[in-house]
Order: sequence, then C-alpha cells, then structure tokens
Amino acid sequence: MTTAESSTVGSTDLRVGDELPVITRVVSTRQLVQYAAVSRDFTPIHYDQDYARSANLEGVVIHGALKTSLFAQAVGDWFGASGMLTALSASYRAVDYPGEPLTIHGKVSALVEDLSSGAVRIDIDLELRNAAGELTTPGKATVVLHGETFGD
Amino acid sequence: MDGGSEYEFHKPIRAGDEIEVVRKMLDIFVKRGRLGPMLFKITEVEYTGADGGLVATQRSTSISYGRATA
Repeated sequence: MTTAESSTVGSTDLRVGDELPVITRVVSTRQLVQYAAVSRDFTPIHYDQDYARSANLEGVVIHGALKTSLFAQAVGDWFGASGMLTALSASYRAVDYPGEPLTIHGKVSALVEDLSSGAVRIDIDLELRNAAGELTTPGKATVVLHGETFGD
Repeated sequence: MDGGSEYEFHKPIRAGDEIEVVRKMLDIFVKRGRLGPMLFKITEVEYTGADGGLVATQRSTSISYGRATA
C-alpha cells in the first residue's frame, strides 16, 4: 500500500494489484446546484428535497457525472501533471448523497510499458464507496505517463 | 436517470482551440426489469479539433422507467 502522504505516484513504484491512496470527498448541496447549471441537468432529484423524498430517496442525490468528475480529480491527485488521462468510465449503480463522506479507491489492474517511447500505460479499477462502505459507483481509468510534465 | 458514462481523451487541447461537438443517438432499446419496462438511450458525443482530428469521445447511457417517477 502506498502511503497517503505522497501526493503523486511514480510509475516505477507501481505494480499490478497496488492500491492507490484512498481519497475522501464530501459533495455539498451548493455543488449540486453549480453542477446542475454547468451540465444543464435540471432533473429535480438533484435540487428539490421534497421531490427527491417523494421519489423514495433520502434527499437530493449527487449527479452521476459529478461522481465521474471525482474520479477524474482523483487521477489528477494520484498522478499529477506527469500523467495524461486517456480514458475514464463509471457506472452509476446506486445513488449517493451530499454531506456524506465518499471514498475513492483505485487499484492498478494493468501496466504496459512502451519501450520505444518510454511511455507507461496504467489501467486502474476505480471504486466510489459511501459512508457505509458500500460500492455505489465502479469505474475504470487509463493514464499514460510520458515521463515528462504536461501543461507548462 | 443517468446510467453511466465512458470518456476517451485522444489528445490534449489548449486554450483558444475551437472544438466542434457532434451528438449522435447510437441506440435505443427497451429492457424489462423488476421495476417494469426500462428505456435505454445510448448517445455518443464526438469532440473534433480545428485540424479535423478527434480529441475526445463520450458515450452515455440514459435510463427511463415506465412509471412516471423521473
């Protein structure tokens, strides 16, 4: 297990099966309003508490795509500017609520090194778990490390 | 409701790039589940740069239930 102190992970340290540092995020209802505006997703279960409860939910729920963006942020936290996110997917199996600590887990599922370019492709299995530890949102990411820093 | 999304990022984009966005309906079908009929809509969005090269692809699954809850 990698320690949570290290902000980014070097490709040479990684092995298939390694778990990346767990990241905890809490989404606020304010973020739900912001996300509704930016994504133009005005489904009422994301902003209207009474409507959400009438739909047998505990309250307003987090947009699925916002959870995918938490995965993208996690990949950025793990690999920093040396990694390029080339693929990301998520499956919204169960709802998640604002104000609740959500944990993001990543596990290396494949490592492929291109010897000619020196680039390393890392496939990661992602999990978003709720405060009870239940897996609500599985996902996958692919990151390419070129050994150089992007975005300077 | 939103069933899930897949993104592929083919190459980096930079501030000032003009990106063309094309949304396509890829598939639409009905499945029967415990909660009754479910309508699946699969859409694809392609993001193309000014040089004509594809910079990103997004595939999304939207699920509607037969009962009027969503």
